[in-house]
Amino acid sequence: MQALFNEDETMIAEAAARLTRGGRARARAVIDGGALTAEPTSSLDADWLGLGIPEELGGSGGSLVGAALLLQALGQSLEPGPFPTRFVARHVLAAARLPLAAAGSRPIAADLAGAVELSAGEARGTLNAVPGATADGAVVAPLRTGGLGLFEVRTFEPTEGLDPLRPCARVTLAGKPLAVQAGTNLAPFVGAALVAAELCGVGRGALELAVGHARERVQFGRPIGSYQAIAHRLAQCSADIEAAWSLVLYACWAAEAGNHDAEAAARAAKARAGEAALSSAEACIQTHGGMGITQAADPHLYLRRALSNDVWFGTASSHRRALGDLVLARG
Amino acid sequence: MDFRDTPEQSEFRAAAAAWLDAALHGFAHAPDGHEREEQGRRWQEKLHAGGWAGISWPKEYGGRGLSPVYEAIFNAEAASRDAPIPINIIGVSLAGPSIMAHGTPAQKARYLPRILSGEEVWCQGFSEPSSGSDLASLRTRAVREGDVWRVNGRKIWTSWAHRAQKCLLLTRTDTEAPKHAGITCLLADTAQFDIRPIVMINGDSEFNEMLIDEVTVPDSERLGPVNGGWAVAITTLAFERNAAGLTLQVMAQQVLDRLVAGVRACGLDQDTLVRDRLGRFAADVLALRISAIRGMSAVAAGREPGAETSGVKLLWAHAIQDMTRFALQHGIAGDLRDLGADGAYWVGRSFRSRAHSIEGGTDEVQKSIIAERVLGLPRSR
Repeated sequence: MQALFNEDETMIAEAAARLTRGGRARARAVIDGGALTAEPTSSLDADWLGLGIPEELGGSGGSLVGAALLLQALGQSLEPGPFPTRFVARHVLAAARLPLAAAGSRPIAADLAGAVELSAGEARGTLNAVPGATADGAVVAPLRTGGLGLFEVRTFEPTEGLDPLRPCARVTLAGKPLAVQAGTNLAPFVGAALVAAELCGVGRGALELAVGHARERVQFGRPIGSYQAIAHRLAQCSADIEAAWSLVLYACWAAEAGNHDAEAAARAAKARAGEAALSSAEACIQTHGGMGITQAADPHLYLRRALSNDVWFGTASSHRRALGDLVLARG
Repeated sequence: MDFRDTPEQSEFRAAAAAWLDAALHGFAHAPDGHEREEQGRRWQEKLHAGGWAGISWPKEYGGRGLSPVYEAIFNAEAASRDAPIPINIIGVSLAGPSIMAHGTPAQKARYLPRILSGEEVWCQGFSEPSSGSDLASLRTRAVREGDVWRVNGRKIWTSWAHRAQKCLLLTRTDTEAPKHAGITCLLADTAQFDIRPIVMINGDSEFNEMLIDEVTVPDSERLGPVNGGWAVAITTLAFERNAAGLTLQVMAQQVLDRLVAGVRACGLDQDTLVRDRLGRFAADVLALRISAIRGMSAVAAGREPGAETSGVKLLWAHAIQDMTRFALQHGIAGDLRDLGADGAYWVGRSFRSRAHSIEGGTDEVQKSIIAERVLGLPRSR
């Protein structure tokens, strides 16, 4: 039992916290109509886009746990920008043992809700709402016959989703696949584990915002955080996030180690992280009282991300049922 | 990050498993409480004879001198085989280490050798009828009379008291001082206590009430300084928190396994609600296992477990409460108006689990610890 962060992972966590400091203010600026700043996306792209992906597939090495730490920091700060969706998509591609080079210079996105038909080597498929898809990009999507592939975007139409900081688009995919992995693989579960990592960050960010408010806001002559009704709800959120985070770390490790329970671990992580992020976002709104239900305050941004990420790579409820089936099948 | 055993841990686990498999013949799970205790007494002797009692105790006191991680591995392997609870668990895991930390050379020589063998069984006289979560408000009074302390008061929730000869007893020795600064710890004989079993809602009597009336304890049996008992109590409570993670996780896994078998036997395995809830329970149980491994990894690296153990305790209590309640509510326990053996198991387990969110620090205490020490919220009492 040596389930501790190594030096690299600790360094990644510190660097990620530094880069994403002020992320929520940048998110707020984007919501209010401002332009996306070049930083920290350009630093993230330059230094971290290959993190956790083996070098032979075009990544820069390091562990999936490191990737989870980075995504958690991004979720916690609500850092706006295209990095997280690209980063997750690259990991999904790599987990299917497909080389990053297959995408060429195209930005890539990934979504599993939908499927692509392959006939005579030509792809055809429509995906309803792919987070981070771009008109000039490529999308990692499942094949109807099993496995997954990387496909060029043919048509592109932005959708109106509930999370303005995570733009999605309806895309049709066509042409010769850029890469195909027809066999079953861990890609869906690596994706689920990494989105779960971002969800843990969403939960932590919402909780941090709630705690900050509960320490400052005075009613009946005391900070409201001194009332157990507030404090205990937030404590429960903290315990739920920690449980989910343990599952995320294990799911990342199990996927990388090829452990027999990698699927179960990823499903448990995604289910628990989705629930924890949602209940923390809700608790954050409640703790803020009337201000919590206004667009002027930030708590709803966490609620939006918690919900939009719950759908991405499978909802909590779908993973719970599948996990139930796994334990029932276990003999 | 590696969740597997190290080669040394793996070797130790295999040796423990092999020994347990052989040693557990003749210890089939007894439904009767008294019989289980008797098994616990024999099991303590067997552990001692086999060299498995006091794995984390220093060699000079008869232990193996290994890290607490190995103790936890052994306990988890034992729990997964339904081994009895050794009768001197309080002595080995709480009283002994407290005596090692705070005892005089004479006390160490007198008490430690008799703990691992089970020759002297210990209990822990901490909680009182008016001092539960607020332990430091305890009122059992000890008054110095020359070389002895005269003690009067009541203790409650004392596990194993009816089988114990010795008691790690917290007493009030200064009524004027702030509540934490007027407590003294005594090593008392239970022979002079009036011990009454408490029948719990599941029918078992794990706990006792102890009436202490004009009992005398020599001052030589004081553990730590006069009015310095809180430090002793804190040591003890830290041991209590430390030890259990892996074993508790095994308990939760056993309940889940039984629940899954019950769902299959009832033909509920296609039911959407049931699959959803089983998935949630499986996620909870896995989270407990991973949290325990992370906790033990920190201990192995020489770190103190922090307030995050409070969150794991909350998760554990509710996982077992939720699973057992689910069995009662969805027919897995059978018809509750006509209990068979399975039904009796689920009712007993469910009723016992109501204590999980109370014993070892209530849910409310755990949440206050998280609120203050993890989240940095203002004190809420």
